[in-house]
Amino acid sequence: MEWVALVVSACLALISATALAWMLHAWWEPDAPTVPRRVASNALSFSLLAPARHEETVFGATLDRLAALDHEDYEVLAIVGHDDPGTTAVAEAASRRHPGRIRVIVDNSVPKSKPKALNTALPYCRGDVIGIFDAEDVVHEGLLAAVEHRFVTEDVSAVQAGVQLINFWSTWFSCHNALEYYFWFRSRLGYQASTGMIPLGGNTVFFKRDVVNELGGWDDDCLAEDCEIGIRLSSEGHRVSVMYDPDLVTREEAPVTVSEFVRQRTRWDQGFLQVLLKGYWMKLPSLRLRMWTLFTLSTPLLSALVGLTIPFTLLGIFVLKLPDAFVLATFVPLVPVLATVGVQWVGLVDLGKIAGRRPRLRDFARIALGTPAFSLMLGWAAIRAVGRQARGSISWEKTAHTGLHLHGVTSLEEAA
Amino acid sequence: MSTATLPRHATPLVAPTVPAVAKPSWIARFRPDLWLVIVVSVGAGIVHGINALGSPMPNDDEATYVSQAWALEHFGTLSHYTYSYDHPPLGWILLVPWNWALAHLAGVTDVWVSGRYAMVLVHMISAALVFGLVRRLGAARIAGVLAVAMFTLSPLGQEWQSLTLLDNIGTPFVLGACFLALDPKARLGRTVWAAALLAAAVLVKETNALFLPGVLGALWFGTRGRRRFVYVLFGTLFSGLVAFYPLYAIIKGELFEGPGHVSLLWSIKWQLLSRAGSGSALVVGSGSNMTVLDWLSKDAFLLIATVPALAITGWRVPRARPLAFATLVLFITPLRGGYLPAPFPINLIWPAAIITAVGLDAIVRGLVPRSRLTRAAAWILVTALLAAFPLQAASKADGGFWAGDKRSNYEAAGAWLKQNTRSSDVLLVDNILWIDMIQAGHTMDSTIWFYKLDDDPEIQHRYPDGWQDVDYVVLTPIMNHVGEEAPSSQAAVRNGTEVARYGDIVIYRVRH
Repeated sequence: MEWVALVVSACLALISATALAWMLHAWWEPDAPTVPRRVASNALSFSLLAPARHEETVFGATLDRLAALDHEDYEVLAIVGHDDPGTTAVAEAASRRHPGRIRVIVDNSVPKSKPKALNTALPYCRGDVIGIFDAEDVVHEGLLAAVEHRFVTEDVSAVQAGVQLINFWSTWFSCHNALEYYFWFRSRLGYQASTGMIPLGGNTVFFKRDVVNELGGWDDDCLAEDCEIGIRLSSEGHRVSVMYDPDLVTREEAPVTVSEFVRQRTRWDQGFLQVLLKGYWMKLPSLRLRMWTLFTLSTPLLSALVGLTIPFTLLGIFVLKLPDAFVLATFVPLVPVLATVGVQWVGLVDLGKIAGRRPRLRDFARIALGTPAFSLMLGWAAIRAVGRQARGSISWEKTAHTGLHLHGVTSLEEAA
Repeated sequence: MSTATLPRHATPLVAPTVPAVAKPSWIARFRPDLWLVIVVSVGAGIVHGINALGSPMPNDDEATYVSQAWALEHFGTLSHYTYSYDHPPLGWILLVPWNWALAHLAGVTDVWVSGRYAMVLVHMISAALVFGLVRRLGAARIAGVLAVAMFTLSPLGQEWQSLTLLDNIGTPFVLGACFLALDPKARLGRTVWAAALLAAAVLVKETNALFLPGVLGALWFGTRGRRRFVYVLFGTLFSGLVAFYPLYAIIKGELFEGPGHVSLLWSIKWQLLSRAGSGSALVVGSGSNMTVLDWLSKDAFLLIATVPALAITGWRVPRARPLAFATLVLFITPLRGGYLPAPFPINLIWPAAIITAVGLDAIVRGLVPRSRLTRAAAWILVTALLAAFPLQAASKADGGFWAGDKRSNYEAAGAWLKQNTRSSDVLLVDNILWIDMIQAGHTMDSTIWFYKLDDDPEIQHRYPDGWQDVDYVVLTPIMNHVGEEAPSSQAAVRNGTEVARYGDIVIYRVRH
């Protein structure tokens, strides 16, 4: 029993320590030289895909912003469902407001999913580069110029730019959720790219059109089509560039109810699991890279395990009656957890600057105290994902958006 | 597009997607230093290792720590008697695998001997780190060699660095933390390891917390824009690891004071508040004053040279300021009048050596024209001047450190006891003879560390008649020094007949 406790403790410590190291990857060495803000060279043309489903409340504003980006040569393809007249009307109105810029594509597939919507629009794309945005995204006007510069100066097939959940103040778990994004896009994805294997994000991601066509588009049945295409790109030896500039991040809204969050997370976890089971990553060139992919795709399951650290420690003290040295050992995983909380506090300060809203004492407290509960939620989502996958249920549990990230951020509109 | 509104933290960051151009490997870049560091480390080890068992004399505290390591190895307990939170236990925990390895690989079975050998290794690691730290502070290689020479040859250092003391075990950890904190690339990884090493140093001996401000200061350099991450990471890891000491006390139910058990807080309170102060070194005749005069009689050169060197490094070498500050704090400590632990010089010598070397380097750089020849000439002059002092001092030190056998009396007394007593005889001995007799097969039941007859309830219960239950008592300088604090031992000696005498060690058979 003692030795089981020791092994479990060592594994938990290792998982949380490595997760922490990757969170900090972007700060590991002194800052790279800063990149001056680019003016669009218009060397490349863009097709921006914006799939939307039951998003009539926010989609119009999103399309207006997408139509006003700082670039000469791009088009916006608003993809709506044939069974969704509300959103379709909003999209068509926007198209009339921005003639020649926005086109409306109707997706007739049943049942609906985001990859199907993207695949429907793919043949209509005319740009050299395809970009993807979600219906509620607040996109920075300078983004295309920066992405274009990346494609021109680096030999890459895709560029992933930053996405940030803004409303960290909304619920007790929003700050955890927003910080996950912050560290994932600011730091972890850069590390993934440097290893040659990267699960991409769902939006603010750009591909060379030829490459997407060559790959045959997105996987219709995958719940994490973004991760899936990233792994396929990596497996085929394509290079991906990761770009993070706090000013240029695409702003998004964090889910504000537990059930919504769990549903969204279940979908991603199941998507990762699908990609894992699909086994495309076995094509990666080296064993090391394959093992690394195996680990990356298992991350949702592993991070759920870290949540067990605290109950496990309590178990060690009160129930198991272990010898003193072993009781101490069960506390070891708490050290990286403690450091993670500290690092998240620092991230929260940065996040506050991006969001234009100072984090309050309450938010710092929520990070310190909410970690166990948030981990339990992650764990629950991971268990649901495994359960759904085992039952073969791959329906798309969609996230609802109310536009919370747009309210109370007046400084954002002024700065833009 | 807006560019002017960017706050400083928000500088766009580019994650490199192209692997960096192949740089020369670190071994290639540091090859001259690498050779030199091996040479100085081995040299320091040889100087330190000569007569390591013969001098200095076996010490009270060192016997305690090797006994505790022995108890941990054989009984799985943190102390041979009740562990009373006198110091955190990492130091003697580390001795256990070392002792085991020496016993099984080299046939060294006496833990006291293994402890002395451990100090040779500790000194070699410390010497390498002293050299490395001087280099990281931007000084010339010759300055690094000089620092190691001062560190190793200091007569005051030699008196203490050979003893198996927690301060010595902690030194490479503190040095390592300082070394990593001054990583020229300011990588975050060094923050992690610096925190771990300094925490380990504190878990070896709590007084190493004095170096915390120095390490925190060293982390400042090169971390612009990342400082919050650096300090939060350091702070959480350092405190998270140090917390294992109070955590252990909590698990044992020994954090708070209570009837019938030892406690961590009681020990801390006793160490900080109740222990009699040694007076300020500035007051003539105080304990501290005499101690400091004794230090100065042994190594006036290094201790005095450090004072101007502190000023010069503080003025001219920004990266050395944190260490200079830590050194200053250590130098001021004897003046403040609190309790001054005997092994205090251990934590003075290495910072003094580094600061003096870096200060000399700053002087040479500032005064001597930038030419290879003149610089070399200046360093030859400096080295010649420096060599005179420690060599002269070393030759003066009582008996010298490379000659003389200060252990022979103990060995002879131990041999007499092993030959003339049975393991059932009740022996009252100091802790140096205690571990010797225990290793020779005597049991803890009958061989008693003399203090314990007066302050350990368990021993008193076993021997209700106190000194009258004792068969032999060995009077040693340690016991003499304690005097009336150990009344039972005193009584045993008064009622004893001298049966053997080796120098100042006298064995009595107690008359019943």
